[in-house]
Amino acid sequence: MQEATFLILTALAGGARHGYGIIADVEQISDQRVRLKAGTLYAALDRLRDDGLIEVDREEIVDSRLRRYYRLTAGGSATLGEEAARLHTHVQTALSRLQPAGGMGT
Amino acid sequence: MTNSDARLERRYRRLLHLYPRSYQAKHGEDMLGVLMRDSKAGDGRSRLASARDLTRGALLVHTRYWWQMRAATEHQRLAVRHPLIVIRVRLAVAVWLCVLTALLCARGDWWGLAILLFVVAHLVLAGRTAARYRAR
Repeated sequence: MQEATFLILTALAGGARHGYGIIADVEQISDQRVRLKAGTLYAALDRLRDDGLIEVDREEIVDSRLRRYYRLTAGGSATLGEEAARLHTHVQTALSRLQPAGGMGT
Repeated sequence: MTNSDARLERRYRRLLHLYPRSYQAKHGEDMLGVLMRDSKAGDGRSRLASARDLTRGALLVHTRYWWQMRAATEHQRLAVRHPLIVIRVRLAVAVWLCVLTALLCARGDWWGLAILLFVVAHLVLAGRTAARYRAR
């Protein structure tokens, strides 16, 4: 799973959000490192919706502009959970190997 | 809306035309809202990056939609390009399933008669392909 996809799903795991809300949340989650642009974001949302990982929560009109809110589906939550567990295992392995040898070195 | 906002919106609308029509209908207005809001928060460089990102996104979406359409029509295209092969394969499968049914029934496994449903399905699909072939 690409980092942008992972971050978008993570943003939606916090509740339904509209496009700009996802951009702001992803920026916060990534510690200001990732700022998604509209082209990348909506291409990902369109694909995730086709894959059944997200769905439309509701639509609102704000300042005469459409604002569509998305939320995770059950399948989306499961996929994000699996990916998070996979990354967690990798992180644990990396950290344990970076620990000082503690006298066990050769 | 200021003149510069209106100009920027026109520019973004033109870029959104790079996307497939169905995509524009689904996301166009929503994207425009995000683009305009994002442009207020950013500077000229950020707007240029948005324009580049839109162009790249359009290319990605066109490629994905093309693949989806290709996968969905793979079978139809095979039937259109090689109707005789499709008809022969379906008839051969139907004959083979009939033989299998006869063998099962001969052993007393009467549930094998259910296979005849698949035989009928293959014959119907072969008939439809043949009808399209004759109509060409």
